[in-house]
Amino acid sequence: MTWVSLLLASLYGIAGLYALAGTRNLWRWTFILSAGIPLGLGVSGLIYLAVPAFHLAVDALLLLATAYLAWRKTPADDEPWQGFAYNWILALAAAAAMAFVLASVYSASTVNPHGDWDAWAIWNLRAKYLAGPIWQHAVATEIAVQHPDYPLLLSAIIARAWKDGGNTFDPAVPATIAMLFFACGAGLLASAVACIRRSSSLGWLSLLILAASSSFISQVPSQYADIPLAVYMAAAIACALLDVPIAGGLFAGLAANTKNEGIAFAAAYLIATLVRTRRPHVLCGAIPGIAAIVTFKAFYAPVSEYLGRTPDFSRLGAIIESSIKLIPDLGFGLTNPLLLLLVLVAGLRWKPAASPLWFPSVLVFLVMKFAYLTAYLTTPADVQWQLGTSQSRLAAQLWLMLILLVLVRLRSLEEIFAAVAPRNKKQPSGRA
Amino acid sequence: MDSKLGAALSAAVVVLFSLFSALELFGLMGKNPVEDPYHVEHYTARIGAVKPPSGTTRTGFITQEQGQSRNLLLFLSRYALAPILVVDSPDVFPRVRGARDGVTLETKTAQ
Repeated sequence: MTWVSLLLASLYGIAGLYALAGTRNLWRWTFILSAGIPLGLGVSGLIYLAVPAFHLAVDALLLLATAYLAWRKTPADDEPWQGFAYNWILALAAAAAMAFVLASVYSASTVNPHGDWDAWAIWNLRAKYLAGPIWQHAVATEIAVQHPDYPLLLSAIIARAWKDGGNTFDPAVPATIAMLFFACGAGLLASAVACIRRSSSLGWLSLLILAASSSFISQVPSQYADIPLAVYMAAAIACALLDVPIAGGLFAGLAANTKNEGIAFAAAYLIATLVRTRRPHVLCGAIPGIAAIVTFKAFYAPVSEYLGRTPDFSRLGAIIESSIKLIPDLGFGLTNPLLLLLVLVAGLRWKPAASPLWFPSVLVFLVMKFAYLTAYLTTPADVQWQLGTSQSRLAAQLWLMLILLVLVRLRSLEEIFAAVAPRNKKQPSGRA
Repeated sequence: MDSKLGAALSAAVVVLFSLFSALELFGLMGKNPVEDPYHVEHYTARIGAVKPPSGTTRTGFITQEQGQSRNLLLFLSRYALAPILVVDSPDVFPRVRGARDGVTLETKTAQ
């Protein structure tokens, strides 16, 4: 039943996103699938938090409603994309690299089925309480070291799956959810880049950059909330650039419920997109998530340890030094993904932004960097310890967003080699 | 440099280096547990993720070397979430004076 429960949530996420953004295009389908699953899981988590006793009934109703909307949806025809004769090489390489990466993650999850420290000390522990008879234990002040002020979405997703499976507390559930978020993050990154730039080559290249991101990948078997947060934030940015504002708002709301950093992201994202587009759609999408996090923070969460603290600017040197030292650790030596991104920028060259929301999205990225800096300046913990234990995770949170924002500004191989592979109008759109 | 040559070269570098990195990762990850079985046993007790071994009633096992464990031990015992807590050292006992009635503490030496 656990797996049926996860499937049910995934299905209404996919159906809902199809109703909002469906077109007849293979890459677009990939986006709907890979963004729809985390969307459905997130919404199912919010439903579980709101009505734990009746969540399955609400899930079933939501599935019916989204299936109806998806059935009513008439997907727009997408114009054919330019082709590139050697995209199949990129596709093969990306598939092989991701196969190795997924095998690595699976292997690490098998050796460490319970994840790393924060997984069993915070996220899965609170999931157990949410699945149990006294959910209030998840926000009890007695477990202050377990951070009861952290948002509950990831724990709720795990708790729901555990509860529907008869509370066996199978460690395979959080491990599978962690892998699912990673796989969906990879899929949505590649498909979003491809759809925004109408270029399969850029989609495959983004996947290859991700496959070289060993620091990001090593976070997956830890079962922390940083990868789900990275996925929700990247999905929100992708929806802004693809002009799917309601879905963008939904993802921003889910990010706010995943980690405290997500609250800063949601605020910056909503302000930036509202100011730039002057359309309220994004706010409509964010309503469920905002309502959930405001209710949680106002009525249930203990006060955050960061609240009311003044910044200690003497830490600035240590923070900058640690940030610089982090760069080589993003990957292995010459295969460092940041280096590979620079190689692509140098080789493909920059081009004008395709979306008016690109600059606001970069601003959101910078706001997040500023929020992290503020957290380090105000943390009540020893700053060296805090930097050592969190900086690679914070880098992981923004990594998908960074690859997305850089890749959508590059010229595609299709454009550069247009003379080699002339446009074929009969080629099905979105094919590699 | 010719823009086509530059683009082709950069794409080739990304393909080769990413494959190399993914292979290297495959060789490294999953070979060593982050937590040794002893620590994993703490965890299973903390969240009750694994049923107690057959024939025992043990539902909790906490070590005293980690601050979080002590904190959690207190919490688990206070709310009787783990009716029997197994700790690795009697030194932990003063930390659980707030334990609720009915909670039994046993000791076990770490392997």
